[in-house]
Amino acid sequence: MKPALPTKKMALGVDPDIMQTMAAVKEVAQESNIPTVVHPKISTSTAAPSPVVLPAPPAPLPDDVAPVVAKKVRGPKPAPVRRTSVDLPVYVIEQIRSMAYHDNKTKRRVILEALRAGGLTVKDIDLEEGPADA
Amino acid sequence: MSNKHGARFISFASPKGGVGKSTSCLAIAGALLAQGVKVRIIDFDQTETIWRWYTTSPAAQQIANLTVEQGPHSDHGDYISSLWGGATDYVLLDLAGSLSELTLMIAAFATLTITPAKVSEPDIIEANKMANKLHAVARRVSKPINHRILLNEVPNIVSRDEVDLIEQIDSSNLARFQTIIRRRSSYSKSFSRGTLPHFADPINPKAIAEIDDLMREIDAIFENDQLKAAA
Repeated sequence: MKPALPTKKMALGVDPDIMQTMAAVKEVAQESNIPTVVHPKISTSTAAPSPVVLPAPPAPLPDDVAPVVAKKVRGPKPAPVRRTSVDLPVYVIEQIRSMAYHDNKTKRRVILEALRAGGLTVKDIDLEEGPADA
Repeated sequence: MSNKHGARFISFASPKGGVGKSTSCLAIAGALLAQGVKVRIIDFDQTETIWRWYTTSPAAQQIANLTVEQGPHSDHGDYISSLWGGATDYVLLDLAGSLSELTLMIAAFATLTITPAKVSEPDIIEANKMANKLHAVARRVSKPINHRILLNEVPNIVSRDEVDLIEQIDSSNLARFQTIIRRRSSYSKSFSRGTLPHFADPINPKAIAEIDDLMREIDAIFENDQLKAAA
């Protein structure tokens, strides 16, 4: 009786270059412990929801213990601002508006960046949008 | 590598998510479509960003010569073999933001693999990881693999640290495109408006100019490959 043919799929007609590259990728992946695929399995069936175990409520603090308040992290602050107004040619105002629209910036930022490019000192933190610009 | 039909495969791969793979894939797709060639995008990303962009946007579905499909979740070997054997024109492969054997395999097969990265250390470290793995594959098959880093979402004003980082890339063996993609709303509008920068109304000339610069660099890589193959 003849032995059963192996069930291994044969790579008939597959370009040797492709086979070589696939083998090389598998080697590199194995050496580096790279997973085969990292797609999460998408489940099509809906499982019955597991019973939810609620965490026990925290025990009340004793009266003589002060609550812990997280300290605020202090970083550099933007410089104080003051409103000013200047008369500009309409076409310049239009360009500022257009640039702000196209670059998705505030007009304030467009102006400050231009001033900085022109040699004035403007700190990075002052380019950020403040609450007034939001 | 390109196949017997001369198809060009451009993969967008990074072990890190959120670097702009789908965004740059769409930008390049738009540039190619504007040249009048056929573009097939295959979305391998489990977030299905491009697939969702296409299926939820009537404007996207009306773009001529563009087809978008999802990559398989299994049987990758057979799929890749048949894809490489039968594809024509341009095939853009948007890969998952993680390093897996599948990502590496598609990136290794592609005529060109692009790893977008912001000018930030985590993105560059991950891009470097991708380059190292591809170099390891290239050494084994004794063939070069075209891999380039695309600096993406670069702000108009770069800090001293960011300039240092770019200089570090340039002094390393990491290959990058000289064109840098600025942070522009016209790229994010691809998703919100379901179109492509080259097909937007109105177009942003600055965005179009930088994508076209990038395309010139990509074309030069392909032409160089053709010259080498002919020699």
